[in-house]
Amino acid sequence: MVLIDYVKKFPQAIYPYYMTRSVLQGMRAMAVLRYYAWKRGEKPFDPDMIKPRERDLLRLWSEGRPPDYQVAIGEALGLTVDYYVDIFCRMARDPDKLIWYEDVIPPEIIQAMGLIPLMVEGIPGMAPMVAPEAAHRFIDVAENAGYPADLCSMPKVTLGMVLEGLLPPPRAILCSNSPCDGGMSSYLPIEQAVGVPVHRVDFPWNVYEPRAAEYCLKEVERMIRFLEEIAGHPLDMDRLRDICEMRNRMQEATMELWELMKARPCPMGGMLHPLSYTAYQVCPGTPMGIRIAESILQVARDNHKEGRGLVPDEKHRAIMWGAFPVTTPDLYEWLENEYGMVTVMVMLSYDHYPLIDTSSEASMMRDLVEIMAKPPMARHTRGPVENFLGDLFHLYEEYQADLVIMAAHQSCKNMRAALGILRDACRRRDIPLLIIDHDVFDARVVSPEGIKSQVRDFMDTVMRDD
Amino acid sequence: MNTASWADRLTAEGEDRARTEGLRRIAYFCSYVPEEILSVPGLYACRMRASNTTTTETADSYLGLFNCSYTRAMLEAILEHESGWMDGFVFTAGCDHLRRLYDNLVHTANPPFCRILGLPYKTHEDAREWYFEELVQLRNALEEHFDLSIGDEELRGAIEACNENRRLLASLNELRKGENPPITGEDMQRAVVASFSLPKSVVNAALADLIEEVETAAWDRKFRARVLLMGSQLDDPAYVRVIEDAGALVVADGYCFGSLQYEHAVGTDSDPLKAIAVRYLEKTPCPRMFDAYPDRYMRIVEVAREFGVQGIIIQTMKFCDTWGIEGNVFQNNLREEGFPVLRLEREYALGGVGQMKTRIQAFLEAMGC
Repeated sequence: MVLIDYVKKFPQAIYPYYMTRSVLQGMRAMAVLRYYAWKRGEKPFDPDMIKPRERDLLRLWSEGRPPDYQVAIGEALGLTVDYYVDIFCRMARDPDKLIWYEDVIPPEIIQAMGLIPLMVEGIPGMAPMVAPEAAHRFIDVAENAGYPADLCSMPKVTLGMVLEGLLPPPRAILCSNSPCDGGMSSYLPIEQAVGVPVHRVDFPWNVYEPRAAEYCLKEVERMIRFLEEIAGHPLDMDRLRDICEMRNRMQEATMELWELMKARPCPMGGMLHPLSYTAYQVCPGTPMGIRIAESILQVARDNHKEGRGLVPDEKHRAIMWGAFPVTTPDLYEWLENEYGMVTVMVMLSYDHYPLIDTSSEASMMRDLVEIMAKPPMARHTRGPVENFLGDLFHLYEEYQADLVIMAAHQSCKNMRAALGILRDACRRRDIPLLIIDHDVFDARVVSPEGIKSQVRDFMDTVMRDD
Repeated sequence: MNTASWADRLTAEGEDRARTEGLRRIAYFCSYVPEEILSVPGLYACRMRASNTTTTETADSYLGLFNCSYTRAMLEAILEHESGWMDGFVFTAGCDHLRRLYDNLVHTANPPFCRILGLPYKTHEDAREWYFEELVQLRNALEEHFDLSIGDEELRGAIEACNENRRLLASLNELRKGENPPITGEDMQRAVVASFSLPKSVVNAALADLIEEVETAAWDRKFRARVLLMGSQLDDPAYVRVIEDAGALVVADGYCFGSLQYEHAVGTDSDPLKAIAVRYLEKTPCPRMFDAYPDRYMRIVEVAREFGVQGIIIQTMKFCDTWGIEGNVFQNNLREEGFPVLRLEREYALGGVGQMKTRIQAFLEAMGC
């Protein structure tokens, strides 16, 4: 009832709510049915028992895989969407507590403040997977409103939704100068369209500089003061400690998973990466975040214990750098099925932070600030190019990879400008490098088939893989 | 007067003087690089341009086609030595393109002196402290690399010369307020380019002469409308000439190789390096700076009114995200304010002149001029 009243008051909220619900139902129903079919010993499970949705992500991501993998992926997806639905229910009760945050601002502090965090790019980020035509529509809205066609399609989809008034109205907005100029600048028209206070966090260009930590800490303290004014009360440090401890549990599971991924054969598939990344962006420090991390870990543990790889005949191990093409959500699966290629690590999910030291307020803030200042992608696109390359070559060695896939999103000016340096660096190290041209959210620029065709050419000519 | 030949003579004189005096030329790429520190005895600051670069084949193999053509032209010019070899390069981490231009320059040419300043996005006390420290490191690196001593005295001398240059440019700019301005936008652009490319000792004397000459001359120039030109980095007087050939007179500007570079003097009554840090963070900001749009917008509106502007042209370099977005916001807000606005997208090298003229003529007609 609360939700119905809320939607009556803010009719635009129905769109993102519907979108999250549709993903939830599409995913969960199949995962649960498969789970029970497996439990009853009905093998092999026939996915055609249920008529799949046209672009059923679970089918794309786990078809033909062991049932426990299907369940883990289904559960992770379902929990992520559950979290969104929960956010919508909470904002229905307390619409004045809704805070929009940009994708690189972690929501822990917003949560600890008793406010409701909604990652602005989160719902638009789902659009291309649930309904590609929706992403196209919002891109067109932004371009028709005069914003550049060469702007990254992520802020374009977001801007399109905001300009159409499709996101529930916030009380305030948090954003930053990371990871790129396009995302950062898009908050000016967002600010004008929404008309609420915006707080921008200034992270230094090179966050690895020794004095950057103190500067970032002061910036985050300013952000907290801003939120305290919005909330009307101070930050509850005990609550923040609880959240940080839950985040630590999630992080411990993730770190163990990253260790297991080094094994040959690799015990998990590439799909865990977007799920892990999304969980850290959307619901870190929550019971749901822990369950997502632990359910994926459990599958990896079981496989590793049995010496079993997710791909039966593992032939290649890839590191994927750059922005994953959301337009082609089955890319990891396809690489695994077509070439026996496991994507052992990707830029976006490579978290390697120390656990948050919750023994004092100072240590907790220090570690949280480090997480805010150095998230994946942001730490790679800022600072000298060594920041972009360092993690990549470290991972290449650590995970015994045999090729690098650079997903070169066309309008990511920052990463595209590093491709020449990346190419030279890979040649020096004799590392096979596949650069995939694509647009992260706009399949009209490069279609999923166009992306796969680039892979085929590379595998045929460079890797000589027939 | 013919400012083209004035600028040519001045360039030759400036380069002769630099050679004779053994001055090292330090190229910089952003209006947030303090030219004072690069204008101490033994050095002179030169804002990097590549006016003769029309194609960028070599640079394109490093910087992507979605990077702005300014950065691609700069890399091409340096790799081809088109603009003559510089003795050093100083960047700011101003935008994604500049940051990666720095990386690619180091990777491809590895110049012996190449620095990048971590420029904050805010202007509060901590940001000033941060930027001050960046400037201390730049000064120390220059001293060490070029075997110089850059103390307060040297910095004060450079501040004085740069402030004088700003004062002269502001005086010249002031003349554009008149009903029949004695200089065109193209002339003004030449004076600005010369000012930020040559040793101040040469350019300041020449600017003083230029002002004296134009102040006393009689002018009767025909034009259809007075316009303000704003937007991305623009260093090419020929671009302004195209606008003026189409019938507009550019009487005011709002871009970083124009008035934004010479507004605001550096304070002279405190520690010189601190005063420099304050001036550069508090000058009229670039769109990459946080929370400054309202001030930037009000400045443009005030300048437009002060200079009797009838229409505003916003030019944005293709692939520049900050100006690409803000240009649109500016356009919407200025139209709401009642200003006719024309938005032009462009590349660094001048091109598409015929189309551009047609659009400007149509704009002037739509304004009823």
